[in-house]
Amino acid sequence: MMPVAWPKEGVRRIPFAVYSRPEIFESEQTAIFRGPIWHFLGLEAQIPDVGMYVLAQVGETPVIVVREAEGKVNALVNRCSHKGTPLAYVPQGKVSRFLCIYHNWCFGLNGKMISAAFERGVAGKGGMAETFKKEEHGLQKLRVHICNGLIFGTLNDDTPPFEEYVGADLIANIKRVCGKPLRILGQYSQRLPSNWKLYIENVKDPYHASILHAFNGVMKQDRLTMEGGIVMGSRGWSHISYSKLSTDRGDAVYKGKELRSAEVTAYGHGLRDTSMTDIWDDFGDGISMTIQTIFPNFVLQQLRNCLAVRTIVPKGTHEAELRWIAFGYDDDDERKLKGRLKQANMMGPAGLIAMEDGMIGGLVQKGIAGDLDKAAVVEMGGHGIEPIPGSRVSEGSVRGFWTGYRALMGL
Amino acid sequence: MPLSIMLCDNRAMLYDRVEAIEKANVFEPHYYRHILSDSRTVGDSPDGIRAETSFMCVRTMLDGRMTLFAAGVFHDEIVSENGACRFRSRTVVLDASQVDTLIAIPL
Repeated sequence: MMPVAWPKEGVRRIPFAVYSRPEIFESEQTAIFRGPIWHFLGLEAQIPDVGMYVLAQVGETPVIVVREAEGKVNALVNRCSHKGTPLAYVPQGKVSRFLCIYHNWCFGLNGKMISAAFERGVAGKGGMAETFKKEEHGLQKLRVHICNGLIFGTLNDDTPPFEEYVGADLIANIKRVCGKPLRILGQYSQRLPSNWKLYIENVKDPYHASILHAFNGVMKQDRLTMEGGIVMGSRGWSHISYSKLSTDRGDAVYKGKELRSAEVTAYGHGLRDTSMTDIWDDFGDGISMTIQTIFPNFVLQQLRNCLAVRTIVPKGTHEAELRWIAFGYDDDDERKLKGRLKQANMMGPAGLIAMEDGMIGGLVQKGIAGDLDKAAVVEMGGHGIEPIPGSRVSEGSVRGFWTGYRALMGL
Repeated sequence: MPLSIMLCDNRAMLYDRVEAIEKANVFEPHYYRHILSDSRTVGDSPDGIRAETSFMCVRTMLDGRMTLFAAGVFHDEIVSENGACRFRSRTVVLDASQVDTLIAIPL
């Protein structure tokens, strides 16, 4: 029995208990992370050669993503079938097979067990029991789907095909952003002092972007007065929020004195430096910003020319890790490479736009302490998950996340 | 990998970053205390010398919470101008690629 009763209003109320109760965290591991979801595991560009691997984490489950052959990527649970020891503990590397340090159990890049130390004993004595069959002790495998170089995996047999899970519009945006060979520019991570869901909710909420992030609003990087909208994925669980920089008409709205960003007058004449605002249209469609999520915890980001993927790894009720990988394209020239690196000042733990997102969830969780029977109010844009055409003044995509969450959690 | 957490490669960008921290960005107020090693000169640069200094940085919040926030090394280029030593550039290399919550104030 769950310790949370969802308010009768539905997804326009979020019970505070879902962020902070340990029973909920435990339950998510089974219902969500080992449930029927596609979880981002890494980029093909991270493992171009046979034997190259990266570690990933699906909820609490440790995973190895390894290239077995050209065009063939495997995702294996990083756990020796003998005692449960992780087979790889360096975050990325290149191997010919996985050899457990504890008792030398050995597995191929496809997860099949190859051998164990002293399998036949020593000098005819000892050895594994006759009942032991190597073919029964391969590593647990995840089903893998690769979409334009993004590697996804699932631990559940009932997960629908990726295209059906995500929806055609979102697949189209992955193709748009990742449609040519990627060049990885670097990666880093942030420890978030909050529940993982407070971060993904924040990503799915275009309402806050120009308010909390005063840099955004004042610099006219992303304002709700630009032409833009929200596109919903299958069942409303995933989303894209987008905007067009060249269409802003919002000075009158943003000069309203109730918006904090309007009080920040320092930037009235723009940045002193122009290298961050020297942008180009990567996709020829005038869309300067897309933030796409795939339920439950993946983000594909295009902030002008600053491209990245983010994954939120739950660590506990009050802790999560946010992992970033920034990328450009193999065919970027020097100007584009430099431009992306400059624009990366907007993202990450020191991001001129992103830094507040690292702490806001922690503040919320401090605020809700003591009253976990109460609930958040999420009514911007109505009650439902239908997008409002041409508008981002909505929390519909946040309600979409909770629609998926409730369905899987049975709440 | 060429990506950095923070990149300011000219004076205007430094101004913009400082102004953003002071006027636009929101974060829980905090202070840094750097503990530095001796500096070591590691060679000449076209106009001066290159030096390395290791550091540890303790972050203290207003309520007194203290965290060993970062450790790493400064790679500095120091030049002599009109009889004074000045930093031409400073590259901060962190020992870890994970950051606690956020980095507002440059290290």
